[in-house]
Amino acid sequence: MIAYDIVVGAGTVVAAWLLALVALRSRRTWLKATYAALALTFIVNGAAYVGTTERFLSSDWESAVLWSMILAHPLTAILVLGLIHGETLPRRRPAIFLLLLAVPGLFVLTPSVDWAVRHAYEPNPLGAFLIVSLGIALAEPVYERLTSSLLATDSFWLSVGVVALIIGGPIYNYEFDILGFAQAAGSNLGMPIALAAFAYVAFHADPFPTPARPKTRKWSGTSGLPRRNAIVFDEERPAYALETARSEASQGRPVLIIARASLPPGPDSDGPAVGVMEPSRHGALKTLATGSEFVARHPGAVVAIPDVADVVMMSGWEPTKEMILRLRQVARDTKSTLVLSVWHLTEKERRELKGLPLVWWTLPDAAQEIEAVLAASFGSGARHLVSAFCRAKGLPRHEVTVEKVPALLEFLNRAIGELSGSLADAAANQGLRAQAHVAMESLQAFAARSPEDLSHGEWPSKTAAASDRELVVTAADYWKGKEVDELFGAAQGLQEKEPLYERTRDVFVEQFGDAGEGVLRSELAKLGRKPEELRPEDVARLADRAAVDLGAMADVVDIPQEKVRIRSQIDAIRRRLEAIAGDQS
Amino acid sequence: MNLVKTYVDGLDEVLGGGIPEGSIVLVSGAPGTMKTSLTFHLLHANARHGEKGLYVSLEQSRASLQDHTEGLGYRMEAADGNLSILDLAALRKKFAGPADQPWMDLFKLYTQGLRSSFDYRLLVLDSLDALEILAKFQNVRKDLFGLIRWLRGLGVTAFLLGELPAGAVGSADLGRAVYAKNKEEYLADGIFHLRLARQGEFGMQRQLRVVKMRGARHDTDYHALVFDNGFKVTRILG
Repeated sequence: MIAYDIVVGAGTVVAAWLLALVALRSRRTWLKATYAALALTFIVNGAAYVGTTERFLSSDWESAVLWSMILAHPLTAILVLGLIHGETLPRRRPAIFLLLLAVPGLFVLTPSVDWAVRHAYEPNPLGAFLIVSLGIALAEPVYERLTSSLLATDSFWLSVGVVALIIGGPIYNYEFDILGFAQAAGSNLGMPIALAAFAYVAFHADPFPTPARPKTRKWSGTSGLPRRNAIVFDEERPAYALETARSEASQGRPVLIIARASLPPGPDSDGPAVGVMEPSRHGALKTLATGSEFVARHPGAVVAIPDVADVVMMSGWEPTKEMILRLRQVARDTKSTLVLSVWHLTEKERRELKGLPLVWWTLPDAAQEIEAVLAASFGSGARHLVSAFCRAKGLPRHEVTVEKVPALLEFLNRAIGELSGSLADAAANQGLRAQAHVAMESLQAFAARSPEDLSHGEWPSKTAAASDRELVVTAADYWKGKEVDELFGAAQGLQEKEPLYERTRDVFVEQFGDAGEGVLRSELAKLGRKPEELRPEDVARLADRAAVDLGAMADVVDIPQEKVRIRSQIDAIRRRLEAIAGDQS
Repeated sequence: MNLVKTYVDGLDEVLGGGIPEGSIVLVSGAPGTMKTSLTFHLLHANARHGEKGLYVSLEQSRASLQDHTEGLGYRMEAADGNLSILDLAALRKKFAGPADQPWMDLFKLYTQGLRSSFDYRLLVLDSLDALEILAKFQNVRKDLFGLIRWLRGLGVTAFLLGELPAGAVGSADLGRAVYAKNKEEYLADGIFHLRLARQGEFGMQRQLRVVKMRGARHDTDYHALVFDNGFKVTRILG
């Protein structure tokens, strides 16, 4: 066995290993299939070459060397373009598949015109076909390398792979022929290098993990979102973007949310699928691959990216911008919709995004609008109602979205129900119910408004005129005011029926945010208590010791105003704990 | 784009003018490479020019840090009240106990709360490794991802100090160099790498490299980092 055959044989083994690796690890079905076809062709080529030259195989297999060589060239071009354009290749570069049409013709012609592997790259129709295939495979990545910030790195590696094939194919073929080593023709030493480069790129552009869903036909139901476009949801937090995605999913439309795992709820059979974003410097490329693959399997789908800023953080702004434009194109091709939320983007990034041909919806903060709706009926007390609702449900204020409106209505109903038993004045009771009824109808009307409608800017907080507020005060005064106050008291009462630990925790969370519960648990540990073992006398002890135990939290800062602020928070905790302990005793 | 000046002689030129405002910069290096001193200098010098800065220390107490930095000539009085040290190390002693401490939440509580009374624009976290251990990150990469994202939302220019074992990055293998333990280098907008390089048979030289700085045309070579009545960055000679 000569050294050259050993090298070709080793390359074939590497090709088989790469094929197994890509088959096991890659998540892109279409690219995996193309890669497998090319790798198998190379394996057949290498094995047939080594087998015939070393006489393990009969001379009949020599034709397999030529045929696999012919097939490998168009497959290389298709794979390289597929790695650049992904699932959109059939739409973006459909002509590339014409190369495959020529292959059967060449197979048929080969015996009659007596083409052999050593004449493969000579000036004849076969040589022209092979060179054109490699030329296309090289030209596209070179073009992308020069024009794309998203694909610049990968285009380089694709070019490396194709150049390796050109050197190992036509160039070595010519050199070996000059050197009189004609039997090397038909083999390609660049094959494992090319496959490795293609695999490297395939893994960069591997989609984020997404729950498997069966392929569906093009979705054609009714939708509140424009098709074939990208819609930017400009809001404080991605509340409407997520709510819209869930609402579309509930109508049977395939929806994919590409987000961090902790942001949206986990996927269920009817809800949107969630592609979990993983930290990677190829984040933009992976996001593009995840979205493209999903809409290729589910045409007419919605792809929502509530955290565009996260992609920017991973890959930089320019690649992210290009990713958005490419995904928008994919959405247009497949009659799908791309939903983007731009919270946390910088002003400069927003400005640049506004310059792109995207639909831009500026949306309100739902909590603020809900409060404005309630304010039309309850005046400044609306804030207390929303706060009481948040505490009762253990929600931070920013999580009060339109999805929470049914729960808020139920909460209001319960508060009014509690109150009606204690109000002696029937007229006042009736008036309060009427006021609450108006508020609930307004809330339902607000919750029913689509994001597109809201994007026109007519929000409750903007439309509530000052004169209306005055009328509210008059109405409240008419009903002697106390009924409204009592409603707030009833709402507070609902919260006070909660277990002791939850009430105590709420006090800490109200002052210290998310850190509050941890601080409380730490204080409980010092008392030797578990949350479920908390008793009223423990709350009293916590109140007694608050100034000393929590005082350290003020000592760690060296800004006098901040020390005062933290001490006032600790004092507020002490007073609230004393009140809870008093209530319980 | 607004740039944050480092006021280190030669470093702003290396950075092409300064650090883009709002960047999250990872300052990584082995022990003894002056990560703490350099970032403290950055806050102190900016404070003297009216830019507020917050130094969050999880390992060293405020007194110890002040001893250390005053020894280098950085007096707190000179900062005109524009430099604050958040001594979370002290809280560690007070909160010592068996329960899980909410260190990540506490870090966020303080850094966000301080903005209301002390509107700082620069933040140093000393160190990322200490926070990772204290906060008991379950999935380090994801938790770091969340932290950096949160810092980005805070709208400050942040410097995260990261410890690397001595000799973790050699000049011979820059292509495969690692500047952080958990690949946070991909998440950060910028990376300063500090190292001690051998000079001659017995000498050692501190060197600094701006590995990455999004939005800046910066020099990527290693430079000598010299401290002589202030920091200075110069070309490496010989």
